[in-house]
Amino acid sequence: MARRDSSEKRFSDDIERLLRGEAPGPTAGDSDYAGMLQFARRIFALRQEPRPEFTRRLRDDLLSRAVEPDEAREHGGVRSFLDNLLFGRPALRLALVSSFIVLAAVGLMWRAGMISPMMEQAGEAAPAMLEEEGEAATAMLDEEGAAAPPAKGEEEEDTMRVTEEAEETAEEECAPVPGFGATEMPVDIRAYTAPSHKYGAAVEISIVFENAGPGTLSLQPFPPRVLIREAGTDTVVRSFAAGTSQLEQSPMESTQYSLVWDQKDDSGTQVSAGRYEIDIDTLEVYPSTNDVPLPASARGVVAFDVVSD
Amino acid sequence: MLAQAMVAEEGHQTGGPGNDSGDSDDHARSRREAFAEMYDNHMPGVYRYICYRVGNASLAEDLTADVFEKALRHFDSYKREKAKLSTWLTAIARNTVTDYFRKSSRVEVVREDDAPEEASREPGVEEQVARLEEVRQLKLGLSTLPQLDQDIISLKFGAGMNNREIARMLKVSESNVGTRLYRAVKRLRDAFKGWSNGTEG
Repeated sequence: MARRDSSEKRFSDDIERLLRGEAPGPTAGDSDYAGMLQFARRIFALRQEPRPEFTRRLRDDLLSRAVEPDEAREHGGVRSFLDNLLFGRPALRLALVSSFIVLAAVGLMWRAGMISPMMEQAGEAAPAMLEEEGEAATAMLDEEGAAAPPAKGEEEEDTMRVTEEAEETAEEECAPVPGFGATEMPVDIRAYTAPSHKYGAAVEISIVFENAGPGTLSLQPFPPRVLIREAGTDTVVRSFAAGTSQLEQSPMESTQYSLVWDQKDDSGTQVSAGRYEIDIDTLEVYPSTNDVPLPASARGVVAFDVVSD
Repeated sequence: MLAQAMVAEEGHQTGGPGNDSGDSDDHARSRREAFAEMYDNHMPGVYRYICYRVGNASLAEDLTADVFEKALRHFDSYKREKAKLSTWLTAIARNTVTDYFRKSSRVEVVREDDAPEEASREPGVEEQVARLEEVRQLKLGLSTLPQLDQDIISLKFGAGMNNREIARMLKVSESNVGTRLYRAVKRLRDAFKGWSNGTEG
């Protein structure tokens, strides 16, 4: 075991040398290890460089557009006018930023339940409404014409792909939150596995979380609870418990979480052949600057088959 | 517009490629130069990484173009204190490749006759044929590895990242990267006909 660990470490070091164009260390008569290094050299030698024409063409194309925003500004037009208005006048910019901060604060307070016009109107009925906070909030949004979540039944009936459709659901469920907007889901969640798996074989599942928003986010709990459901019946056959930590993500950062399902249900029995779905839930997303969750409670499904031999 | 304004503002404040001079000519020039420098330094690594992942030169070109389109769109929001440019770009490349596989709804199944389009530009027909065969075998072997191992091989040999960078990107430990790299190369070698111990060159 120690010998293998040592070989692995040595191998990594030698690959680093190889990539730097240096000679690997001596193999000391270890033919297996020498073979590994030789093979690594071959992998390295087989790497393909981009075609010079492609490199040049893409470069020219990208660089011609790398200055477009500034050229557009120089050539005037509505965008130029707005840019000048926003950026050319510090006082106006300050006023705009201040307004934005106030709006953000109001929005967050509203999300936190500190401002609730319905509670003010309801007077003594407020405690009872608090018990049904979720439904009351839905009703309020419906009345006000804001983006309202779908009815509970609809939500359960929907079968979603993890990325685009989850985003659409988030759009429907979300009230506007400053900084992200009502139509933007800040975290892109994608689950991957092969479309079919042999009966009894381990099912490797990868779930990628990507911060698609403009600010740092905290995802919690991490990892989120992952459920394996039987398609059609929606029965949860296996539940992978949520973790207890949280994940901080910078903009554009993505994180891969992998797990393996042994095709057994929660009682340890092999499930039958058929279609199953990976369901991700319990995840809440917070901007790192406060403790009010963003409207990104992620729930999505990707389906795959377990097939008999 | 507001979001765009904020992003632009963020780019200026966080040491992105923008500057505070307000001179549009200088700004345009510095942005263009910064992007050109990034492209020149990192495009080959991104392309090679993608090539290992998809095993097809023309597809790798398309995806590389996608990666740099995205990089251009988000260039002003890149924060150098958060990640190295190479790490940022490789993260975009990984997501682009993953999205490609998802959107094309396919599992990479490599047929025996599925030869790469442009394996070599070197002279010599025999050498080219041999190289084509090696690339094909490598592609076959890679496709049999778990996705994480494919990623490690591609990040290591394609993007030229060290174990620490790979570990950070894949959110696994550095020692785990070393272990998986060793085992993945071993599995590849075993899958590579004619490349077992000592028989090669």
